[in-house]
Amino acid sequence: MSGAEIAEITGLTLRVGAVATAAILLPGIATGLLLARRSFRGKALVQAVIALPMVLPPVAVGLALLLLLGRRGPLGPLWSALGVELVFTWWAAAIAAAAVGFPLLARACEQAFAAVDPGYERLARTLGLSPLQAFLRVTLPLARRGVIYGALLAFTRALGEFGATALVAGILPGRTETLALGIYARVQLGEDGGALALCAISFAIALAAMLIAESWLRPQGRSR
Amino acid sequence: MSEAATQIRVAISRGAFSLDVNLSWDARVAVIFGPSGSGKSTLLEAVLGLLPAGAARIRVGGSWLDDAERGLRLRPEARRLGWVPQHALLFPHLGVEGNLRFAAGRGADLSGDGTLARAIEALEIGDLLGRRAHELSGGERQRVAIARALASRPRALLLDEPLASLDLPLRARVLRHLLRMRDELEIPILWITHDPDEAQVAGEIAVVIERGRLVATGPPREVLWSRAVLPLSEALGLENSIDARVVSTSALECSVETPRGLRLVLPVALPIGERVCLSLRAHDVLLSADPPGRVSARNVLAARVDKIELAQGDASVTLDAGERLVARLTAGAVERLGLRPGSQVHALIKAQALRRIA
Amino acid sequence: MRRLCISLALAAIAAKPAAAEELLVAAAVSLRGPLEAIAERFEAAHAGAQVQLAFGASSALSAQARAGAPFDVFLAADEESIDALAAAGLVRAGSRKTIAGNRLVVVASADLKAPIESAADLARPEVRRIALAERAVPVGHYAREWLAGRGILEALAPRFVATEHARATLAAVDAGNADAGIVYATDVKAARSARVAFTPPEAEQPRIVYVAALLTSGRAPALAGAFLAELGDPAARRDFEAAGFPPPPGDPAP
Repeated sequence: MSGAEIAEITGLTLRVGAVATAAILLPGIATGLLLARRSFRGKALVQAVIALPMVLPPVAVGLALLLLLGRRGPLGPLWSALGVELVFTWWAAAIAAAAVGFPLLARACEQAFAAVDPGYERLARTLGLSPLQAFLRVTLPLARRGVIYGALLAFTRALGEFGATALVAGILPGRTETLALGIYARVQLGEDGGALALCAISFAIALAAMLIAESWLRPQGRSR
Repeated sequence: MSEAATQIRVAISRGAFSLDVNLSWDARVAVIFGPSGSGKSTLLEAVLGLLPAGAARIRVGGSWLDDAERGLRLRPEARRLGWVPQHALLFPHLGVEGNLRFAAGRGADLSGDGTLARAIEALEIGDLLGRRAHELSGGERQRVAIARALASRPRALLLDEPLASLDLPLRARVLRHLLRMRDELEIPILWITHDPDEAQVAGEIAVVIERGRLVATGPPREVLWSRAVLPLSEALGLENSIDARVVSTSALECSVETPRGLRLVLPVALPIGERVCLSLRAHDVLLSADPPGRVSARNVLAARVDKIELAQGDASVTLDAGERLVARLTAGAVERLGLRPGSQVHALIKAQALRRIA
Repeated sequence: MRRLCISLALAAIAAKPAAAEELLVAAAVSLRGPLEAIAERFEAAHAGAQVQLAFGASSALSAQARAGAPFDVFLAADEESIDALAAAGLVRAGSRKTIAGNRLVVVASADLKAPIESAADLARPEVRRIALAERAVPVGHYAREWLAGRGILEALAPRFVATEHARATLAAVDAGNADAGIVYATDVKAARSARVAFTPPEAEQPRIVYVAALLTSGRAPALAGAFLAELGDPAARRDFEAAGFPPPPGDPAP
């Protein structure tokens, strides 16, 4: 397996992970904030639905995405009209990664925001800050660690995503062959050397990401 | 009819609890007194605009904040009220200076002549500017919280039980700072407390709230000792309540007798047979181990020590003088006099120390 | 925090730019050897063209194509996969072309002591696990066709270990995870420890045919046409032969 091939697969995987994480960052933070601060009827149902991509078999998520994004699904005419082709592109891989990463980020954010005393926000309001300003200057900095941990978690999950990606993006070299898919294909072909090389890279990336996450979580001083 | 400078009309229900008050006063500094759960904090939140909209009518120091009839409801960030919460709530991610600048604006002047600089000096927190919130003691945090509230140049100051989270020895010191602050400021102050001692000195007017309803309004000393409020004050820390009947009288004083036969002299002339309810602060009771000679106190009672409770340099001595009386001494005095349960003493009570509340 | 967002955004923008002209070819995995050679020659002859080869089981690739995968050229190991595409309206009219044939062989694991010299030997007790591709995969149904022809399909069924495609079957036998397997003759070159046990005689071999077609879902139709033409060229024929692929059944010998 050539170095160029390894570089291409690794690069694609990192790109997919980065785009997926960037895409879910704002929605994940917003969702986490909503769940942490508001109670409303049906909240438990909403939380359960959000958790679905995390607990469903990834191939089930992939099939759902295939139906949603494909030209032959119920939204097919819409995609045709827009001239948009998503399946079997690396966009699909990114969408699949975003789908499975979103619950991780949203839940980590929910926990992080819930741990911040709402009194701080209210105090900031009385000091003249709008709700958004109070969130940005008080709640978010205080919840920063949890949010970043959630983002890193979603990123590493995106890197490892296989089932959903295989269905909705296929294993197209140069386009959608991520590390996980590449390992699988090579094992099927009996190319153990290549598979192990990709495995080693996956391991290194995941380890690095988790080390960063854990060191970020280690409090230097009490945050309350 | 001119409207009072401060008016608070709030009716709000939160589960089993409801707050329904219609208050008004002109005084600058008002004490809101009541036990925990009486609705004081809810009242404060209503004034701050942190409660869901209701039919409220709130005016503080001449400025309208809520007027349901006119459709006026200022958002919390527009009310410009300085809030000092019960536990300071200093932002943990900013140091002391950061907290102050957060309220004052980034370019604020922390030294010099401005309000903030004067507050820093009055509250003696100049040395703390470089520290983080979690490094401060309770009293220091409280003082920084007050400075932060003032840093935002508020049009009124709201203190929520400013001494409650402090240890007893600290309270006197912080109270001194607060009173100094109060006298220097010109803005209206709402001071919430459940401590009767604090309530008596903090404000020009006391508003007593219990179970979400107004109980009494008026000058603090009068209100807290009034018949309507006394049970509450006692429950919150007033001692020595005496019921008696006038048995003899003269031009300037009268003598009353309690059901158990204790006689006391009051500095007023009351008709014989009149029933009185007296309140006596424990601090107003002096003790003498030996029979006192000529003393100024009009009431000198023989008593036996029943119980002595010591706490942080202070002592509460419960006496049997016919009636139960509590005297507050220093622990040193107890030691010096060699007092112990069973000791025979004389209690000296000035006639003026006996306040008639009913 | 802001820096994190910005770096993620930059990473996204720094996506690989689209190739000059990319041709996406889906092919049965057994065609890997010759196709890589043909693709290289094609890229050399057509400046700026990039041939991306996606290998897999013909049935799986066909499903992907029907789900919307933008393949330009499809090389299946059977007629049925192309038929399915045609039924979905994905095959360009008149672009269907047979390009090669193949034979089945039985491979045995290096650890297997018992000799396998005929179909009946597969029923020996020492042969506990037989690897073959799933029924939907061409090599899988060819193998079952042959075993049914010998009348032993039912008897052997309990010993089957299903794999994803021909190469995966070989890999299973190579790794010792199966005692024997049924693969294409052209695959055994890639074997590491597995050995050819025996080759069924011509009379027993099923009719194996590789069919190529152009798909309407492709993005580079002109290039696809050129590639298809190339597959029929004598040069390509030689590549297939060298790899062990006989000409398609029913074709006259060159």
